[in-house]
Amino acid sequence: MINLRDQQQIFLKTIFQGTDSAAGEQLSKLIVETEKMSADQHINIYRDGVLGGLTQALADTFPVILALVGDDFFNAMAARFIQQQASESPDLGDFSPLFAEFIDKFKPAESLVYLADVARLEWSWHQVFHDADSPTLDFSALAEVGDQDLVFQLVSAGRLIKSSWPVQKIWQVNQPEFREDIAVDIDDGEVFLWLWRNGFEMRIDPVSVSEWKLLNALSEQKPFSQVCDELVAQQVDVISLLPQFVEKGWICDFSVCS
Amino acid sequence: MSHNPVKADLISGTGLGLRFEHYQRILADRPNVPWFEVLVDNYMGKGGLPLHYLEQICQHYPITFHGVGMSLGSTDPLNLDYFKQLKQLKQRFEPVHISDHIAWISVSRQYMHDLLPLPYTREAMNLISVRICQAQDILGESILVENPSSYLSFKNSEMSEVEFIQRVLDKSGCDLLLDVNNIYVSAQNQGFDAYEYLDGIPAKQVKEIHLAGFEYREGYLYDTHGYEVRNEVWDLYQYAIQRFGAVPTLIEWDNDVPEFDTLIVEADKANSILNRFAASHRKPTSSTLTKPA
Repeated sequence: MINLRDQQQIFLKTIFQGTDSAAGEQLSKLIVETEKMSADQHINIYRDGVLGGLTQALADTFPVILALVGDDFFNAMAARFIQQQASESPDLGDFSPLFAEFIDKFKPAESLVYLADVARLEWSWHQVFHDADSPTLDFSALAEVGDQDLVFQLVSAGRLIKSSWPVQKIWQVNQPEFREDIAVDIDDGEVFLWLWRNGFEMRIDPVSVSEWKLLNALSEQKPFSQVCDELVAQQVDVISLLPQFVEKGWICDFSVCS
Repeated sequence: MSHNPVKADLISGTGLGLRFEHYQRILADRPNVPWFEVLVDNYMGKGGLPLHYLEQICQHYPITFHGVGMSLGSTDPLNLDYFKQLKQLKQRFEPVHISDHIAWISVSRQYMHDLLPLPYTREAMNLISVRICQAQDILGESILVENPSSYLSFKNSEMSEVEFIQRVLDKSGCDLLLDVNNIYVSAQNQGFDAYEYLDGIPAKQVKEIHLAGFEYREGYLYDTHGYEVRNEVWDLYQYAIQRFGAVPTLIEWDNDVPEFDTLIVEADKANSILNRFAASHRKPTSSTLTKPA
C-alpha cells in the first residue's frame, strides 16, 4: 500500500503537471470514481482550486499588470509562472517576489518593455504596505548630539525604484479611480522613485538624482561622514538635502557611531 | 504535555468573520457582534494597516484566530517559522482560541494554499494527531481543528471521516470546530448521511460551529464561502444545536464579500436558532415554577 508521503507527493505533482501526467495516472488509481464523476474530474476540483487561488493571489498583488495585459494574457502568463515557481511560504503574500523577473524573460510580453518594471513597482508597493511601522524621529535627542558621527535610519517601509520607463505614470493611469484621458509617452526618460509609507498613507514620490543617491547611501546605513565624503565628490548637496529628508519624514531614527 | 484548555466559554452567540472591507464600519459603528474570527494568515506582515486595524478591533471585541498555514496533515516537518509568527500574534492579540484544519496545504516545502484531502488511514490519523500535539506544545494551548469539505475519497481509506475525526480528537486532545456547511457539502459529494455524521461527533469536544454558503456546480457542491447559508444547511445546523447545545457559531463569507448588514442578517438567523434552543433548555426558576393544583 502506498505511504502517505508518496501519496502527497503524487498529489502535488498532479496539481502542477495535470491529470494526464505520469503522476496524474498514479493518483487516479487511488481515487474512488462516483456515478457522476470520474477520478480525474474529482482531482481537477482540487487542481482548479489551487491554480485558481495562486492566479488570484498574483492578480491581487499585480492589479496594474492585469489591467495592462487583460484577463486572458494575465491568466496565461500566471499559469506559466505558477508552473515554474513554487510557493515556499505558508503566507500567500510571500508568493510572487520573482514575478517581475519572470515577466522580464517572458517572450510573449517582450514588446511591453516596461511591464517588468511596473511589476517591480507593484511588488514594492505590496512589501511597503506590510512592512514594519517606523518610529517618529526624536528631534530633541538629535539636537543633543554634538559632533559625533551618526548613522541615519530611513523608514523601513520604503523602497527605491529606478526605471528607464515612466512606471509611476503607467501605474497612476491604471488605477481604478483614475478618470483623465491622457497618453503616457514611454520615451519620457529615466525615473527615480521613492515608494514609502507615511504612517499608513502609501506614497510614490519622484525624486531627483541627488535625492536618489542620498537615499541610496542612507539605505546602506553608512556613517554620515562617509556618506558626505562619497556624495560631495558627486556634487550632491547633502547638507541641504538632509534637513528636507527629516522634514518629509523619510528619516525616522539615528544611532551614534561607536 | 497538558495545555491550557480552549477558552470557548469566553465567547457565545454568533460571531462574524473579520474582513478588511468592514474594518471601518466596525470601528465607526461598533455593531453588536459578540466576537470576530480573524484569518490569521492575512496578518503575517510586520506592520501596516491590517495590523493597525486589528489592534483597534481587539480593543472592543473578543477575537479568535483561524488559519490554514499549520498544514497539519502534511508529511513535512512543522514549519517552525510559521509557528513563531503565529505565537507572536497570539501573544499580541490574545485570541480566545486558535483553529486550523484536518487537511494539508504543503509537501516538500511547496505550498498550495488550498486545503487538500487526507486518506482516512491509521497512518494519516497518527501523523496528524502527533502534529496537532506538536502544534499545541509550541502554542502552549489546545487548538481546534475543522472538518474539511471534500470532493473526492481515496480507495486506501480505512475508516470513515467521522471515525477519523473521533480518533484524532481522542489521540491529540484537541477540540473540534465543526463546519456544518462542510458536512453538507461532503455528504452530498460523497454520498453519506450528514445527520448520521453529526450523530458520530463527540458532543463535548465541539467548541465552535462554522456556517457558510456553498455553490452548486455541475455534478458537485463547492464550498465557496460566497453565498448566504443554504436552507439545507440551516436544517442541519438546527439538528447540530439540538445535539451539541448553543455552541458559539460563526458566519464565514470570503468571496464576493457583501455589505456588513448582510452578514448581520445571517448572524440573526443563527442567533434565533441558538436562542430557541437556550429558551427550551432553560432550567425553571422559582418564579417560573407553578405549584401543582
